[in-house]
Amino acid sequence: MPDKMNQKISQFIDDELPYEEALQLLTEVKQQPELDAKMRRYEMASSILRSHQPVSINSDFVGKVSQAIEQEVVYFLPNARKRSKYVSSALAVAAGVAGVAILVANNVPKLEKTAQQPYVVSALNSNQTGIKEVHRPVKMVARKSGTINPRFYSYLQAHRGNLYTLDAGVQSYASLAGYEQ
Amino acid sequence: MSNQQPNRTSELLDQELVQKVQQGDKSAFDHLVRKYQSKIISLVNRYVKDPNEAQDVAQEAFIKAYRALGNFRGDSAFYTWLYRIAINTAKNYLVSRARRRSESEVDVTEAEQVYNAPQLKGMDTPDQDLQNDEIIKAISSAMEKLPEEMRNAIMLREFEGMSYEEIAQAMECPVGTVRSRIFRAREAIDKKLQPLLDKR
Repeated sequence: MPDKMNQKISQFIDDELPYEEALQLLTEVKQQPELDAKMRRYEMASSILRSHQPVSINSDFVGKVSQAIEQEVVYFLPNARKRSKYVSSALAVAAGVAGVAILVANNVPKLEKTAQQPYVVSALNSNQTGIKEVHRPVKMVARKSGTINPRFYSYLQAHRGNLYTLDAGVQSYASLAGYEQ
Repeated sequence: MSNQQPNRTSELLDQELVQKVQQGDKSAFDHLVRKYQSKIISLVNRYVKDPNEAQDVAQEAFIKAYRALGNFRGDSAFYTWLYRIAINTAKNYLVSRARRRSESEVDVTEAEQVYNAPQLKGMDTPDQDLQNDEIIKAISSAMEKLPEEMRNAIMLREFEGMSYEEIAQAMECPVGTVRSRIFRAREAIDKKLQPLLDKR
């Protein structure tokens, strides 16, 4: 058992111990002074082999730091986990899609309104000001309603505004009347 | 700790411990101190050149790191961040020590000659020097007596900073064998080292 722990210490100081085991080892080293001493000796030997400089660590080094921070009143900021680039990108795309969805949702009722509201305005304008392209809503209403009299519908199809007005941009009265169906 | 930058496993452990500290678990900071004490003391000692003062300065660096940990966002590895704090603390210490020395020069001129003596200027005492020499010799002797495979394994690790995987490739043996050889080499060295340290 001690050999197993010592081998883990050896792996730990080489950064070769899986992190769950490393966390467990650190807890055990904290509780068992002999393991702590072993770790310090291994580290000292490492330091001497690498640099011929013995780095001696007082046995109470961790204790002293621990004691000092025990008296510290530190207010840490809320833990902000680092957001990955992928998460940020996904959130940006999601926000974009949501934005488009809101725009579309807002425009759908407007289309229906334009099909309903411009009846009178168009009728007035067509006579007085000659607004172009006002025949388009007629088709939409006619298709949507489904209750239009088939004969009147075929009449409207046969007498389209452009036939009467010869592309002058003025809506025929017959087409305008179709709005009211 | 190795002479390389901490690897991914080590960084994961650091992240976990840092998060625990940021959540108020002070004992997690003990783990970080234990993990990096050797590296930081060694680093500070390169500036301060006095093992006893190096420990005090390293301790101060850890305390500063704890106070600043709330601002640590993990943009760099924890060790890189701690390393910068330790260097700044050591440099500040050197500035204040130089200031103290210049003040003492004015006050006690006679002390100047003694203070500037090379063996006392930021170095170990003769006793400590002797002990250190003894330790270095003991470790060198233990290394020489190691079987060749063990010696090669630990040399590749300590001198070349190679990972176990790299050593296994170089020595054409399984990673488990490398792990075992390095451990047994350390144990052999430790048998020589422990009695010397107990004498201190």
